[in-house]
Amino acid sequence: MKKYVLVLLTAAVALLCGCTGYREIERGYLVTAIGFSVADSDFTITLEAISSSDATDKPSQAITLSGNGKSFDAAYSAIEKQLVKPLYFEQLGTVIIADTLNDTKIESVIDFCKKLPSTNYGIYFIKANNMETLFNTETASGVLGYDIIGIIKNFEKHNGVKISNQLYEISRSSIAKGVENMPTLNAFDGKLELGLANGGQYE
Amino acid sequence: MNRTTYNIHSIALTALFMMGNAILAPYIYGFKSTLLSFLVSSVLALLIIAAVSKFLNFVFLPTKKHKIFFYVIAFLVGLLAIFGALDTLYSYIRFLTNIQMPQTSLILICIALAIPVAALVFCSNSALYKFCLLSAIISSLAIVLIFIGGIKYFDFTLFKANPVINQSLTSGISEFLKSFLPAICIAAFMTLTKESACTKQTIIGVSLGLFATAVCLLQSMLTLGVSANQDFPYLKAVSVISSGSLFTRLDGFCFWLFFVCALVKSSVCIKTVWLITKTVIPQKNRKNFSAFFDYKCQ
Repeated sequence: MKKYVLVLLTAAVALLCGCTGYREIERGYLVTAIGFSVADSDFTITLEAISSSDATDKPSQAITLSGNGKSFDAAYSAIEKQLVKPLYFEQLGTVIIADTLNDTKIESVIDFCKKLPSTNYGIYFIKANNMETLFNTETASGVLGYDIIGIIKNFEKHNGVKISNQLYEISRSSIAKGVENMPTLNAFDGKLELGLANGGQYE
Repeated sequence: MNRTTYNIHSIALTALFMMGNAILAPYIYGFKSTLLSFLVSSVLALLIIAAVSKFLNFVFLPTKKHKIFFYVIAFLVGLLAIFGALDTLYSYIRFLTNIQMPQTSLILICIALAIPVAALVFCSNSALYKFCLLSAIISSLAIVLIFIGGIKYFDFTLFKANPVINQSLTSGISEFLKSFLPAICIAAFMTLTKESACTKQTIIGVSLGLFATAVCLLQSMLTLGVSANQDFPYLKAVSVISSGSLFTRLDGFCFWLFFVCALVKSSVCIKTVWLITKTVIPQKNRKNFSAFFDYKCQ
């Protein structure tokens, strides 16, 4: 009898662990891309998130959210204040940094990303010259964060290069070296063009 | 009558114990200084545990000659075991609340963890040994597969990094020793359950456990570089491993590893305290005590 009780209790532990801490997809925003920019001491964070319960024109159900503040933490808080649902970062694929940011600000962006809950250290970092245009560009799947990853991987495959712009690669040495590895993504005329530091390009 | 020796099981138990919370939250500060402090603390731990193992074999033998000496040593070993259990449980509960189950209340997490710990503490010694052997096989396979899968993400140029000496070296050694030295209570555990400290199995187990911890530490540092000085670096290092678009976020494979190492270390520490208490407090029926001596090691 004791053995059966023990087996039941042990099984209950395994089962109970799955019953709590679960996430309902429609009860939160799945962030797929996050952008950081600064203009005249005004810090801006732009998010692309998938929401299955919000009204949106896109079949991918991706929406764009943004917030401003005196720092990136303040800008993030501004976004959270306007939402009724929490933000989930497990699906975050791409971090977009405005190409006007200096090394110190890029370091604060990297530190900010490391503190986000459930962040994967394999997320991709890119620079962009026009954040607003980029986030408003219609992409193939409708989800900018994933399509940017697709562009990077296709470029690596077709050109036989490794871009080394994931979070763990950028943050494991000096920030200056990490910044060198970030490609730039330019958006114009509805197209996205990937530019590398050595001049290579991919559309 | 044939008696099972559980030699390999003892080695597995000791190896898992050594990994304990050392793979969960290791002290990492600077590449070479961390490796150096790990090496120094590993050698120190091995020597201390080997020496104490022989010593405890002498002290914990049931004889009246060493009574007062036995009580003092038993008290000290018990304190070390309690520290080991609390330190491990604190690290693992911190991991559960921050990473694995962030939306679950702390009380529920503690209750959920207390059940398997209690199950291992109060189960028979043979069941504990068999659980440790099975868990060690699965854990070692997991570590090897994760290491092989993570090689393509390593940056071997980090070996050229200059060491940071003094402050971080001494801090590193003390932090690693804090994780490793509770393994002294394994000698007491073996003596109280096997009538011998099984020094040979203890040394082999300690060495294997240190080697596995070194593999995890190396993977963390070679993948993350200077970012490895954050909480739960091994988990973050494993999270970057992916294969195609289907196999991503494989950090879940670490959850078993962390769970079983923390469970074994905390359970063995608590069980050692319980066994010491039963030895120190006079038994009404001494025949019950002899039932613990199920087997002898060679």
